[in-house]
Amino acid sequence: MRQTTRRDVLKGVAASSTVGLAGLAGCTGGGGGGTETTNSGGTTQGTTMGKAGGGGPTSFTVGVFSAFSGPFADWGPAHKLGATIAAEDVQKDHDVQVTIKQYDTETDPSAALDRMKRAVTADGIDFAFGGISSAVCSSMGTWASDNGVVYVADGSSGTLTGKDCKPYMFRTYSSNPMMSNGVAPKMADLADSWYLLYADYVWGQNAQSIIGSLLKKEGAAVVGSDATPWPPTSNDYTQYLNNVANSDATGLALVEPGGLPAGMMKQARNMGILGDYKVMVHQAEDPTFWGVGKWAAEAVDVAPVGWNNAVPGGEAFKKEVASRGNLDPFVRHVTAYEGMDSLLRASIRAGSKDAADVRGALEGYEITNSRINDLEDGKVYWRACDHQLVKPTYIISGKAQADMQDTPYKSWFTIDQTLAGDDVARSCADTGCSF
Amino acid sequence: MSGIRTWAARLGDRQVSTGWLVVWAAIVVLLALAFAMRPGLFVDQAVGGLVFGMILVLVALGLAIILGLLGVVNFAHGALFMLGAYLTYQVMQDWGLPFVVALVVVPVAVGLTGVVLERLVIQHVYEENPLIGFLATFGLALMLTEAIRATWGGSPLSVTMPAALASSANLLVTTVARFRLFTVGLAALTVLGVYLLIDRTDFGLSVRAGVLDREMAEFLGVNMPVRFVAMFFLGTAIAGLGGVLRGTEVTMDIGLGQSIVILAFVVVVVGGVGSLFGSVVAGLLIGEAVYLTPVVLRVLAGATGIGLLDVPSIGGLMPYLVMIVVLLVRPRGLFGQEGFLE
Repeated sequence: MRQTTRRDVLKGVAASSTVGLAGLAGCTGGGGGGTETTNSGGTTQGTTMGKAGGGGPTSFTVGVFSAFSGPFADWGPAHKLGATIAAEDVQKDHDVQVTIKQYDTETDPSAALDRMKRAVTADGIDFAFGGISSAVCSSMGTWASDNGVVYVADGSSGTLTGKDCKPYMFRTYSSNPMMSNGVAPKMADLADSWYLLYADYVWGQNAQSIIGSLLKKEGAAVVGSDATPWPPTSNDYTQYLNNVANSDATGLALVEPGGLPAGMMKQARNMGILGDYKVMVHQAEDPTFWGVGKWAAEAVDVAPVGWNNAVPGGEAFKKEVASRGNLDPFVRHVTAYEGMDSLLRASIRAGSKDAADVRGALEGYEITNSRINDLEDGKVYWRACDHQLVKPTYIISGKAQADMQDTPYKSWFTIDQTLAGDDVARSCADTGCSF
Repeated sequence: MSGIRTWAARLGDRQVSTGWLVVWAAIVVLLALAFAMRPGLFVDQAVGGLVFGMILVLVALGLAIILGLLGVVNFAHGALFMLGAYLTYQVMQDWGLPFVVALVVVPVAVGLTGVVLERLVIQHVYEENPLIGFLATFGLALMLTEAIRATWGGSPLSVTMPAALASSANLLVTTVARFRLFTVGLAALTVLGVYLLIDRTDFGLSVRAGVLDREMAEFLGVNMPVRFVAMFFLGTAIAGLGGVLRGTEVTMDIGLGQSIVILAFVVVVVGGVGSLFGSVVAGLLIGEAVYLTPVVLRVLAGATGIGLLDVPSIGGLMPYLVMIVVLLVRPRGLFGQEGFLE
């Protein structure tokens, strides 16, 4: 009740001024956020899960926070489409109305925080989902949780479900520890000595630290690691690649977000050194390769991911995304679906939008939605101790160019290994999370 | 070049303080130490810094022309540079035309885009406070960026490098991507061409006269608007050329223009506003600082056992550190003109 009261006070006091400021700043739509999609209608089917229609909430307003401008601008529509499909599915199952409002966080934590404040205090969203980059997620999640709003983040830094965890913040994306635990043995098999290039912010620092220590445990050496500036200052990574070329490494780990790994691989290829290394791309996301070329995907020897469209099953979802989306299906469509689905169904199960009730309905809940079970190759559940969505982690590698699929959607990678979430997630005691 | 002569004369007239001698001696010792400890890496980075510096020079050149001659802080320069990169993608990947076509067509297309922007917006701010020009071009940059995103999307794109330039070249002491060497050569030719145009032709003389006293130049029959349009075309076409070269070498995304234009501004400021020669020196200085400083620190960390000294990402900070130091010592930049934009 404490948070709810505080939130109500915030709404009352801040709404008018925030709306005024937002209007003054010209941020009433598009790039600034506030773009609204109402998914109304739908028939009531199989209401065994919920209390909707029986005193529970019948309408929801959910904020989808993502990058709709800047270098990750294509991720925003992907997030929104995944969330929209989830909302439509929930409406088919329950007599509820879902309104989605989109907010542009760019990849800027302070901009994201402003959007979150406005979404809660002026637009009155019930729940929030999204965020590209862990710094953005942490910024939004801290404030949202402190103000009684359940938020499902889509960043992957271990800190979000570790030392920076919050009572009402959850996370759909596989965490850095999950992906690192999954990939380290394979990396050690591929090469004895690795050079790590990592983005110099929370996500990259977190991942390189975990991967470095795991490689040592697996018997491989880390012969060097360089932090690269984030945000990038010039798209030129020759100086770091020179360091790699002057080391004894036989493996090159690219712990870099978005399109940076492919860019680095291009420069390494120009230098004539790409073929000298086994290449690991942490959290490789397909669209960052689609515009660069099949050669880049083919050069990826190993990559841990939260999902990839080569995971068997879920063809209906993949084809629907391919036909409706700006991008072919990739991990962000799926995490958005999982996030939105979880929020709505948890609220319906709880018969309440109250943050504490929704939290209670999520913690420990194993997802039974057939679409998600079809998309993921294993058990999926919300862990209570750190609010991580525990689900399979996939180890992928690039297909030979001749084997890459382009229709009905691009699929350039192959699944080498599927690891159960419980096998790669760190123990609750190791998370450092305390609510 | 007049810049060199002026600089040499200043040095000749000036007593170099003991403090500066100590600083320079320390830098030389550190560089020598780094070379002795990691010769292979040092040479790689020194050559890499030279190449990166020339790339910065090329990008900064168009900016320096527009700022130095027309007095406009053209923040849209980065967006025009990025437009050059994306047009290269259009020409080579979508239309399947060879690199050489992009090399000719794209700079002209970007230059013409620049002319349109100049006629519609920028010509109205020539006589205004530089801040107004900055804001106007900032708005143009946002519009161009969103137009590019709407046309080509926000995901990373890449063009296939021409086969002749796709491999690396062995320079005996190190190997460098052939395309980077090609960029350096073209950048040097462009700098030379611009210098000759401005310093050695009647056209350049009339432009410089107009910059100093537009009213008098027009009174003498010089058509200044046409010359300003021509210089704006030149500056933006060079931005387009930079876009072709960078767009071919690296992957392009919507942040490409913003990141490089900030470095280009730093180069112009360090070199001194209004001095093309200063931009060349500043570009090379910053390129070497970006590439060599991490090596020196790494060697120092190894020699002293103080791991905190090893800061590989300090390369990203070096342009700004160089700018701070230079402006503290010479507020007008290395070769800036007294009174220009003051």
